[in-house]
Amino acid sequence: MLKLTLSCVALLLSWLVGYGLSLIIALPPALLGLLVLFAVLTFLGHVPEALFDLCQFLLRHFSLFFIPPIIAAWVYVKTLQQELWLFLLAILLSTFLSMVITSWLGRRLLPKDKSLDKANTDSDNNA
Amino acid sequence: MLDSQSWPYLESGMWVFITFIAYMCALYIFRFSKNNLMFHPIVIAALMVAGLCIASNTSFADYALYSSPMGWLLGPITVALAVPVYQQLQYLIAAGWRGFWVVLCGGILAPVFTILIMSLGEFSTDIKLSSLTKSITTPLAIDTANLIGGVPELAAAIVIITGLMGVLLSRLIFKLTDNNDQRAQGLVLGTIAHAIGTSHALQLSQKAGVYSSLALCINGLVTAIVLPLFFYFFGA
Repeated sequence: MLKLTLSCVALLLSWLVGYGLSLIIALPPALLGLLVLFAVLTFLGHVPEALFDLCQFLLRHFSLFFIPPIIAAWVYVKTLQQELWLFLLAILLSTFLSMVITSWLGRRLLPKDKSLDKANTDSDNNA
Repeated sequence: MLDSQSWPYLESGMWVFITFIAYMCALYIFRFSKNNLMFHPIVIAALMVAGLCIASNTSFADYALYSSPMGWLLGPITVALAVPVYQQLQYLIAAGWRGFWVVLCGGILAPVFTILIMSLGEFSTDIKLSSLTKSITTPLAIDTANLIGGVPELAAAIVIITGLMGVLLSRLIFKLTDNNDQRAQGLVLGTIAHAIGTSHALQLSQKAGVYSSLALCINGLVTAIVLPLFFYFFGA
């Protein structure tokens, strides 16, 4: 329980330090906080177990925290009125296009997965 | 919107609780539907909450206010992404610069396509500027939009819509581009659909989740650094 509390504090502290830094460096607080925590982990050389469990739990349920912004988004987007559908279409189309290209590039550019490679050569040898 | 000056503790607590319950039900429905993307928890939960708002005669704007304590947690949870990234650093090094270029291309293409398509219609500059941050996670997008002169609320809305669409389109796109490499799938989800895509990638597999977190961080980092600098030098 103590370790869990400490992990929560560590997350909040990293974010706070990030927020403090954002007043000096013109970068988003959450991003700076992430870099701070990353630097601390690099310094420690490992991830404390409780912190790992907490982060995995939080990130698995990251979607939960997006429910209020979705509803709020709808309030704001509705004010576009007659532009609404064109607006949604523009986002849909650009998301689709950029995803197709990124997916294609990723498939092409990434070096072969070593674990997959091994499986393939093994089966080749057998054949 | 509010009758009294004081913070509405009761309503706020109640709606946060309702959101939790709706999310848990949505998770159950998603599992029950054998992970059918049309029943993605975030979609079902949002619809349930929206339905309850209408049923209880609460305006969406009021709900957004009541549930705002959950929004404060978005920042600290984004910080938590440092953990998977740190842990899987060896994978990042293995994917090397090539992975980086993939993310960079996606990160540049997403806003460029949006601007191109939007210039076909008659959208205001506000909307165009706010849509430049469409593929980075909400807390970063809000701050960046602020820096470049967009509207933070609108930027957040666009980010959320992009994330949702990205997750819903993902299966179709992986099929179209014959992408069955979990690493590349993760990169796409993280680059284009940011945190919503990453939470989906984490459900696909650990490996996809890691690549997605990496892509989210890289794209967030690059966009959040480059956009403000770009506007600083070439000022719009």
